[in-house]
Amino acid sequence: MKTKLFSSVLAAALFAGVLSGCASNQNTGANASAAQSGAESSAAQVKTVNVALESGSKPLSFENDKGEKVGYEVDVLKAVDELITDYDFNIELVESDATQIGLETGKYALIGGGLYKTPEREQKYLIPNAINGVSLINIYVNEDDDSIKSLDDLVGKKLVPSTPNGGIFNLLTAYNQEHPDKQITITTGDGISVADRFKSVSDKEYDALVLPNNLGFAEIKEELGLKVKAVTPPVKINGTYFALAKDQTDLSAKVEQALKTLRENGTLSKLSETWYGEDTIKYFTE
Amino acid sequence: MGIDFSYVLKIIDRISGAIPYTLFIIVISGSFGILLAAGIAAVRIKKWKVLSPLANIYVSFFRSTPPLIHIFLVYYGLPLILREFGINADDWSKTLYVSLALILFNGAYMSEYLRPAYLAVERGQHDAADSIGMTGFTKLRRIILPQMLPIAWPNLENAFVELVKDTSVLFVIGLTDIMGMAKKIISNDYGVKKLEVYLAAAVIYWCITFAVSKLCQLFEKKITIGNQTEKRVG
Repeated sequence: MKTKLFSSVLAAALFAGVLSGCASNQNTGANASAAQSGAESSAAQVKTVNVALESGSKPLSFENDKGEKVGYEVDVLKAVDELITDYDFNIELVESDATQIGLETGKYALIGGGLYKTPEREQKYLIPNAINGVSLINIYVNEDDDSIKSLDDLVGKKLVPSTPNGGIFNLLTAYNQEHPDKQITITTGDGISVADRFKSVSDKEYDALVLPNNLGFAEIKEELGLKVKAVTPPVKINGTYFALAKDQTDLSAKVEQALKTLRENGTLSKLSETWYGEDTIKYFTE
Repeated sequence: MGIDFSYVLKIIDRISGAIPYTLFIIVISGSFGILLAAGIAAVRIKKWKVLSPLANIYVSFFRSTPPLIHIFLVYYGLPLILREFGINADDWSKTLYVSLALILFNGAYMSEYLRPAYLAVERGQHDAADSIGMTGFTKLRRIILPQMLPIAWPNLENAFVELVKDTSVLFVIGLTDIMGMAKKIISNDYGVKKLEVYLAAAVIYWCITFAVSKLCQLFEKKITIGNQTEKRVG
């Protein structure tokens, strides 16, 4: 009786031991690196912080086939990292929910993901007062179609369904509220891939598609040989920002300065051309 | 719009690259999960003070919440708690966190299969073993386990199969398990052939689950045979 009890306790203890063994091993690893960075900080005062971007968000941030983290925001972060000498970024790619949870729990010092400045975010996080990029809302039409120049021309046209309650849906709904006499027909649909949406315009199944420009239009068009073009000028021009945890005031100021420098010296424009096929920064006038 | 089956085959090949890592997670969280389950079941059967109510809360919580939440809680919540004790856990590997989350989940689940199985062995069996002077461990090994395992095993088998599928949430914190790999392929191709990729992932999960349940059945045969000989001897 007692021995059986003993053996179950042993099993539990063994389990706990192995776990804590793992943990303490890892811990010494962490301590070692902490000690190391401690040594570095006394020399050059470099502090390593975890930062998170969204996974699978091509071309903003994604893992390529070789498993490397690449994308527009990854490149911007790396450029920022180079300008800030006393911080080192350790970039992680996770789902969008996870970036925000991680920022709120202090796991990440900074997150990205094509974030707009919203009152809610400004209240919860530190948003540096400098854009990391520009997101354009474009109207995409068939190359043969010259009848659509702005949102006004979408009245009576067949529009590709938009994600319910997404940014585009809200934009179109807002337009309808402002123009009671001119109503755009909005339909909703979820889970339609970006490529399929462009394809349906190319195949003339739909007349037009309203979509942000940072979803890989240039590459999809080329890959699938689509007959689709973006209407200029864009419907809406939004700056995108990094968000930092409330206690990262020092880092936030440095990121802001670095982003301003990168915009002035043309790095952001160059990266925009690499990843979006055009300089989107020039549309942003603030 | 037909399904491009040759593409499915190509994708199966690419996603296969994530199988070893997924299996690793399954083996680690399955084996430590069952050990934890044994400990928890023992605590609850013996109704130890303090520990037993704690185990009840633990089992109830982890059985009533989905693995996705466990991963978020362990990966983002645990470092917060550890920080209070001055331990910096931010650099621990993600594999450690997801294993821990899945171990905790499976420990709770499996303990609820072990406990009733243990209780299903008649009191008389304990008494009989005691009467011939068997010590606790011999009694557990020769009398209780051989009767308890065949009862618990079908459920444990289900738990292992569930575990295979539970690994499909690892991608949320950026790990490349089977689902993570599928997601990666989809996003890198802008979702051009989404359906084919998910189909390929489904086929791979099916194969792994099939292999796991075959393995479990082999083991089941072994323990039931063991049981019969045990009975003959008894």
